[in-house]
Amino acid sequence: MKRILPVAISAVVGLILLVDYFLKVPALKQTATEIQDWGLIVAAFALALAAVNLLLIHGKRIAKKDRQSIHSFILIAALLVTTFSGIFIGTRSGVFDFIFRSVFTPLAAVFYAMTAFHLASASYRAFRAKNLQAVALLLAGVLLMLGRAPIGEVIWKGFPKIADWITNVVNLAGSRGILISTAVGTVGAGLRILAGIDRSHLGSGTE
Amino acid sequence: MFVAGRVAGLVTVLAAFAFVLLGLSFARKRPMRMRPIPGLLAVEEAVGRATEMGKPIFYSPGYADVAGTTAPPTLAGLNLLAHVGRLAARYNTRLVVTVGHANTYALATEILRNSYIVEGKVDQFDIGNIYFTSDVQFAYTAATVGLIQREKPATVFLTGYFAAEAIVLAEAAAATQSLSISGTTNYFQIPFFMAACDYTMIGEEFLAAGAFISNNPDLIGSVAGQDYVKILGILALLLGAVMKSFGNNVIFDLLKR
Repeated sequence: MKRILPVAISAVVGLILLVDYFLKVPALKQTATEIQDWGLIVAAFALALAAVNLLLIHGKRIAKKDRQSIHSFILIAALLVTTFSGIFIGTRSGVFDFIFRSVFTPLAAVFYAMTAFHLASASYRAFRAKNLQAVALLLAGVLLMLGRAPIGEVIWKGFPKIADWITNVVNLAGSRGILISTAVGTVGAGLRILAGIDRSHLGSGTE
Repeated sequence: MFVAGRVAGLVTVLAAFAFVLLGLSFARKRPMRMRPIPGLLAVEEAVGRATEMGKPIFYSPGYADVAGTTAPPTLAGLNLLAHVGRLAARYNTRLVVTVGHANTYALATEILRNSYIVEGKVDQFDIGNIYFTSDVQFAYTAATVGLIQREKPATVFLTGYFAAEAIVLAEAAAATQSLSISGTTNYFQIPFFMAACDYTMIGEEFLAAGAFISNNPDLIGSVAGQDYVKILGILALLLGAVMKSFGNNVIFDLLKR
């Protein structure tokens, strides 16, 4: 029963939402909307559970007073200040606005900006000509950079054309292949779960 | 009756379902074999590496939800987590997990608990090793990168749904000299994983991980069914290209319906 019930619920709910997406069935419209609302309610409970676990785990870590306690303390303090300022003072209050605009947004922007440096270091490792595939990658990378950077066109007018060909023919063919196979795989994975063929996400073991 | 613009999608889903069932029935009659996927073959080696080095294993299925468009890769990541969890429990190796979404956190906790129960080591299961971070992309990234840098794991698994944070996480793994195994369906991030990780599962390979690991004939049969759909898709593509070249738009118009 513990195994059958979740599979049955997944199948029924999935089927209703699929039918509602593809067909105009007025009788199902309301049910599909209700199910999506239930999803939000379940997510809210999951969030409360996760927040409580977060407080318990990091509370224990602070009590231990090891060298990582400071991280846990900062996390709990930030969580409580953000939550209480949002609930009791309001999301348009100065405190909440400060946290969002002056702390969260710049930090997120910094992380996003850092991807450029990570890309450079990853490219440095990947572009080492160790074998034939790496040589092809290196060549494509160099030609693409020369084609996209203004200096490439100054050196030779053919570089932008080669770069366009690599992007629009070689790269597009490969990426579309991956995209189509991923789309088919996604549909297959969904159907396996809906039909109850794949139950490993319910913790039924994988071996 | 039919929603305009979604008829072709409905036919594709129905065809996929029929072919998945066909593959399943073939697999039950005659055992099928999946081609080896290097990233999955390396899982046991990766866990063994951590055990030998006495360092933890780090795993993240990403910051996404188990609902909506991010569900398939996140669930595939959780499937692999169950397997890695069992290996970690078997070899008494610490497994540290970060999860970004509350729904995924609840599921990951239960899946891992079950892995330890199956291995008879439920006393070793520590919920404190599963970190709920944030479903905000770069908050999750900051927490995960920090954890990788502090824990210095021997092995890092980044298998699930990842966006721009993929390269940051993969580079954090490389900086700690961890063996890294990645997999995602987000094809914009696959090149970054390919460049920065030791093993990368590309798109569908990753979604088929559960079938490969379990060696379950039903699951392998369903993956074979997907291949039949792909063959059909390739034939439709070729036919459509030839017909379009001769000015016939039948397939082109059918797909737009």
